[in-house]
Parts: sequence; C-alpha cells; structure tokens
Amino acid sequence: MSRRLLWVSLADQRAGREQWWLSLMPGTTLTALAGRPPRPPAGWVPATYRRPVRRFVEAGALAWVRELDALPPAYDWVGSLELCSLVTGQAAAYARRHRLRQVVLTWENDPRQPLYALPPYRRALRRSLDTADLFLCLVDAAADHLRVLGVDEDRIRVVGPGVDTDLFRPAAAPVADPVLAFVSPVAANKGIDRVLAAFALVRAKIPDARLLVLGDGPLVPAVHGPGVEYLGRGDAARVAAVLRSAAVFVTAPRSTWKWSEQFGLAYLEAMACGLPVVTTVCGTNHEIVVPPNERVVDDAGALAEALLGMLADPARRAAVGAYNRRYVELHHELSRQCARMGAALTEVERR
Amino acid sequence: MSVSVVVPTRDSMRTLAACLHSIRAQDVPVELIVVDNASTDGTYELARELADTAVRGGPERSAQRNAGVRLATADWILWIDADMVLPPAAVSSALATAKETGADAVAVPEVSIGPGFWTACRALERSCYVDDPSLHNPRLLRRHLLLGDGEFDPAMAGPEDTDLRLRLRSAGTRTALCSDVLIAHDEGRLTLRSILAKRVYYGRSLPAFAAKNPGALAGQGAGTLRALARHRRRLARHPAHAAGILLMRAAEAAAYAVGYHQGRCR
Repeated sequence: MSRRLLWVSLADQRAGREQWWLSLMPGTTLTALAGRPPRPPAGWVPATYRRPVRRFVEAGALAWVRELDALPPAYDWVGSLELCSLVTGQAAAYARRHRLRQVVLTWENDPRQPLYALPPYRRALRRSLDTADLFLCLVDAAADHLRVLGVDEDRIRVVGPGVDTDLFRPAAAPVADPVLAFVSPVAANKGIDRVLAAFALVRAKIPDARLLVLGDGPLVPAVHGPGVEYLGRGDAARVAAVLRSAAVFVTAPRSTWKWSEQFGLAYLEAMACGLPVVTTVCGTNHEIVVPPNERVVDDAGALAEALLGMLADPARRAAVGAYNRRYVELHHELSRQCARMGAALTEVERR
Repeated sequence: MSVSVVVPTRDSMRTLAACLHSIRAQDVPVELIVVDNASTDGTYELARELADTAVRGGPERSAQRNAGVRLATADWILWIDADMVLPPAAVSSALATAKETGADAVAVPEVSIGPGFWTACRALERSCYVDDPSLHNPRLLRRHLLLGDGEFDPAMAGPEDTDLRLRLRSAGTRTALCSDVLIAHDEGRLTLRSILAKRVYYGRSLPAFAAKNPGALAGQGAGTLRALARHRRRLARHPAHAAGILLMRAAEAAAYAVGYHQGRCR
C-alpha cells in the first residue's frame, strides 16, 4: 500500500531536506504544496503565501499558505516543519477537518521559544499539540522540548537526519594543505565574523593558510582579506566538492534571542566528507559535533588555537576525519534514516 | 591520573552529556566523579554510563562536591557544574599554570552562552570579568586542601566558591589565573524571573557567608563595579545589553537582600 503524504511547505523553505527525506520513505508518495518545485521524487502543487511582513524567516515566518483549504483531501497524512510555524497550524486544521493523520517534523530545542508566546504562533502551537499524531524529532533535544510542552511519549519519535554518503564522500586522500572551509549561511548567527577574526590569527602563524567560504547571507561584503576566498552559493554537489578540497571545517554559531544551534546539517556533510570539525559551543550542536572534534567558546583566540592544533597535526586530522566518516555511516546514512522515519509513521498507522 | 574532576548534578539532562563528554575528551587522563542529588530525569543513569564513579549525594552542591572530593583518588581536584563544557586542554592548561606559578589553586575563567536577551546580558557582563584575577574563584585545587576543615561549607549554597577563595587567601594559599582556556557555561535561556529566583536562593546563605567573611560582600560588589567601569567602552558598544546588565544587577541586589532576610529568619 502506498502512503499518500501532503507536505505543506514553509514560505521560504529550501527545496530538499525534511520534505525530501519524507519523500524517500519506502512506500510513500509525497506531494509538496510549496512555492517552488520540490526535489524529486516528490510531486508538486504550486503554492502562494500571504505574508504581511518579511521580518521573520523560515519556520518563524509570518506567512500563511493560500491554497491549502481548497485542496481536495486525497491524502493519508499531512506533514510540515516546526511547531512555531503558522503553516503547521494550518496543516493541523486541515488534518482535523478531513480526518487525516498529521506529522510534524521538528528541530526545535527550546521549550521557551519566544515565538510560542506570540498570539498567531501560540494558536498554531496549540492546534498542533492537540491534533498531531506524530512528532518526528530530528534531535534528542527536540523530544525533550516536546516533553516540557506536555506531549505524551506515544506521539514522540526521534530519528536523526540522513545525509547522502555517496555524494558527500571523502577526498581520495586527506587534504594536506592548510585549507579551512566555512560552508553555511554567511550571517552573524553562524559566526562568519568570528571565523574571519580567528583565521587572521591562524594566518599569522601559517602564512599559506586559506579559508574557503561558500554560502549566502548579509555578511558577504565582510568576506575578504588575505587568504580568504568567497566562492558564492552552491548546490549540494558544489558543497561536497568544496568540502573535499579542505582540511578542516569551521563555523562559530552563537545564539540569538530566538535561536540557538539545533544540530547543523553542514557539520553532518563535512563529517561525511571526512573533515574534522572545529566550532563553538552553541545550543545542542553537541548532538553531532562529538569528540574528538572540537567545540570551543565563542572567542576568536580559542577558535584559532583549536584550528592551529588541527592544522599542525595531519595524522590527528586524518584520524578524526576517518572517525567522522564512520560515525556518519553508522548513525546518519540517508536511506536507513528515511526508512526509520517511515517506520515511525507505520507504527502510528497500525495503532 | 593526577586530576579528579567532580561534577555535582541535579536534573541536568539538558546539558550533562556535553559536559561529561568534554571531560572525557581532555588531552590528559582524568578521573570523572559525578555526585547526583536525587535527579528524576535520567541524569544519574547517564552519569553511571559516562563517569568513572557516580553516586547519590546531597542535600546541596557543597555537600555533593565534598562527597566527590572524598571519593577522588588524584592529587588535584577540578570541579565544574553540569552546565559547563571544558575545552580539551582545560585540565592540562590549569595544571601547567599550577606548575609554572607554584600555586596550589588555579582559577579558570568562564564565558556564558545561551539564547535570549538576559543570557546575552550575562555573557557581556562575564566578558568584563575574564581578565580580572580578583573576581575568579579557584576551580583546580590540591586535594588535601579540600579535606577536613578545607571542605566546601555545607551551610552555603551559592557563595561557597567565594568562601573557599577567601579562606585560601587567609591561609596564604595563592590562586593563579589560567588565561589559556575559557570554560563555556551554558546558561540556557535565562529569564529575569529565573535569575532573581536563584539570587534569592543564594541570598539565604549570605548571613553565614558574611559572618565568616566580614567586609567580603562589599569588597565583592566593589570589584565587579570596577571591572564594569574598566570595560565601559565594550559596554558602550552594546547599549541595550549594558542597560540590561544595570537593571539585572539592581534587581539581583534586591533579590539577594530578600534572600539575606530569609536566611537570617531561618
């Protein structure tokens, strides 16, 4: 039997990721109600959004999808991302009206997420807490956050994200040159400013060190300086290629008033490519950045010291990189994780 | 092993795994001892999995640390809270500082992390203290100095670290500052309410602290104000958070006063 799942996309959700993982669940036909075409094999129903302001983005966007109510209920499940999302509130209402099952994927690690207190988001949260049959948590911290919100264990399952380990594979041999890679949004919350400051300290000790920066964001104009190469944006294949050309992966996330690092798929991709990771302690990134990778405080000197330690020791880099690759293969292999997500839905269907 | 790391816990699942893994990832071997105070959220079970020794103990942090020290087998004790993360070189750097300076006690500065406005205020405030040795309590100490009369005062919850520093100073034991590493203190999302509740709680120990250390409260307050004044340019770069610090410190002073009053009435 084929499971028919309607994915209600966020207004500015990037194609792929969560929706893509669900579309790869065995025995599942996924249709995405989204503003842009989804990644295959999902089907697509084009959507537009009512969005009075653009102040908030991604899951927190103040945006409602227009076409959902008119959509015939030719589905078994309706799914969406995050409890603080207004479209998740709409998905809950749609599921209840048409007696469909609802699944909510969540990375959220903070039960005191400030958006939960604002009226439209609070309403969306309450609807989903009442209606959803399954909360598919992508990190352990998300499950903890749901328990604090009063969700019973029967509706909580944790399945870590998967990564394409064929696409994100190590280079034929570990990179010997002192090349660092920052592959993330080029924004303050991902710490590009701190990475640039740390890189200047690294370069004072290792003059031929290079920093490759791939990504988009408001701080792109700040990305320059000796040894710094801004590579623009890139798709998954380009990300993988850049990672394979580097010796160490670095970011420096820091919390904001409504966000702290939940997991960091960029870490996962870098680790799959056999890179050691140096980053800052932030939120729940310890769920993926495990020792012997390094998490340091949000300080340029501390970051530089950890980077210098990695760059100075090729044998250690190779050992950490090999450990990372094995770790990802064991815990985050794409098809296995998608099958686990499917198993969680099947469990609900059999109740 | 030359260092035993003691971690008191109580319902610490949010942060404990990161804390204990960071201790396990030290670049020198350490003995890891967790003393748990009646947790019900799985903390004790996780500690049993990751620590060399995990026992139940209490009723407060001082008693838990004392229990850990008594169980320790190394010559040096380092203690951290369950919401802290050590960089891999923390223990070796603290030991190196002790060796280089000949000190029997070493302080290691910490920085606050976490989401939200009040956590950012706390982080900015702590960043003003990092370079001031007089505002840091010891975190690494020779074990024999923590036994017998040297124990953490079990009557105190909150100011026991400062009490220890002042006792060590009176006894002529120097505390050196290890400036090579920073400890990350994951405060989570602080709210004014949670901050003040903790200060009231800590304030209840202040009568005992003040009785043992006359003049210390005023000295501590003056020290923090001097540090903030010294870093006024840094504060000026973050005016909203600087204003938050002033409001938070004023409210904390009131909360301490309430706690102090409650402590005297006990």
